[in-house]
Amino acid sequence: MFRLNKLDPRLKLTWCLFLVLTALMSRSILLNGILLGVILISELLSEKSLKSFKMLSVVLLIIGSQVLVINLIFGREGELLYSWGILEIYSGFVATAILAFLRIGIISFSAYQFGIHTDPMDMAQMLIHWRIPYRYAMLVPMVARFFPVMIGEYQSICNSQSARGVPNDTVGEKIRNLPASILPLMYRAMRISNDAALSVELRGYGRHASRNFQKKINLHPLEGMTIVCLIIGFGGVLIKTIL
Amino acid sequence: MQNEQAIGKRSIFKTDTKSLIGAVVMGIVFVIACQITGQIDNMLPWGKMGMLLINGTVWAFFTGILTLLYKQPGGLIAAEVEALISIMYTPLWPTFIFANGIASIWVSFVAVKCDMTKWSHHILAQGGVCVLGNAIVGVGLVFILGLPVGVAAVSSLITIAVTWPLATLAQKKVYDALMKSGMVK
Repeated sequence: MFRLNKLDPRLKLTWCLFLVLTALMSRSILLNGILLGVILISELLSEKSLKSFKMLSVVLLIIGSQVLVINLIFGREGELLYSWGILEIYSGFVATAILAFLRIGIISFSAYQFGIHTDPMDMAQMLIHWRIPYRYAMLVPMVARFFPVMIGEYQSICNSQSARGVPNDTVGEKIRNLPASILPLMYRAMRISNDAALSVELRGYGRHASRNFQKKINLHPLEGMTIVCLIIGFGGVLIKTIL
Repeated sequence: MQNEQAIGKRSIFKTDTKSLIGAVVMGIVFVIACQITGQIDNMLPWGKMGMLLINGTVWAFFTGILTLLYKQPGGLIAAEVEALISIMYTPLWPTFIFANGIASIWVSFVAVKCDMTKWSHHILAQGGVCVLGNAIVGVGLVFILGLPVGVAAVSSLITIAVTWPLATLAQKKVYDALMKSGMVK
């Protein structure tokens, strides 16, 4: 059975980079549409749903509609369709907006797919395979570990402000309260990082040249061949775009 | 010995565990701050036109202050943490990887050449951060979002004009306070 999180992180990273670079290079709506479809199908095959893309889709729809409006007003590609005062609408705005929408979809979904289906420990091992000292490689799992901690800290600061009766409803109030919520968070972050640094140093972080992992990553020959095929595929797209 | 002292005084590097972990945790704070200010910007008229002015100011301030606080590679780590987590909320993340990295390296070079005690030093540091960062994001606006070049250029110039003075002011005030508290030596 096909599971994205069982694949080697190097294959997933190559796949992600292939999608991002191809989307940036190609100006073909068809190719970009196919790539976006492949991302969605691979997600469906692996997870049986597209639930994980729900939040990102909403964000992309908002950005996509902004892009459409900006291209409608300022786009100058194609033939002039309508003119009223300084407002001029050209025929090329639809194609430009569709291409941009497909492109932002591929760039965001591919990277998000890589992020959610790759274990931070696998990412750290991938970096160690690339000869990055483990003191630096292990910072990736630390980001994953501390992200929810810091979100919790921020929420507790917001709750404290609410309990004190600080209004936080309008945009003006939110801007006024920004230093009052961010500066305590910075102070807490410094305290937490000092404690964490002391704890890991006392446990021997960085004392030895290497580090053991419970589960090691191994590149299967088939995965290696897929990486080579993706690189060749990208080379083909690059040559076709240049020619 | 004299050489060691000289390197210690104005070194670009700081590789102790406290700096590395501090950079990671502060990088997460950087992400949270950018998300909050991004949401505030989106509620305002300029945010609806795609110009994130408050978010840009906070981005420039954090890039500068974290690099001054943790030097390299801490500054670069914090900046890249923000760039990589931005995958979750913006398609411009590939440009952020380069913009954040180059901006952080610029601040390090300024901090090595200047002692960061005068306003001019902070203006120079933030000038590089805002100009280089927004220029790279401007390229992303054209190639990723497909905006017309003129619109991307105007958007970047307005963002630079607003964020440069505000981020300089914030960076100088906070850096001086950190110096006074003994957190930056």
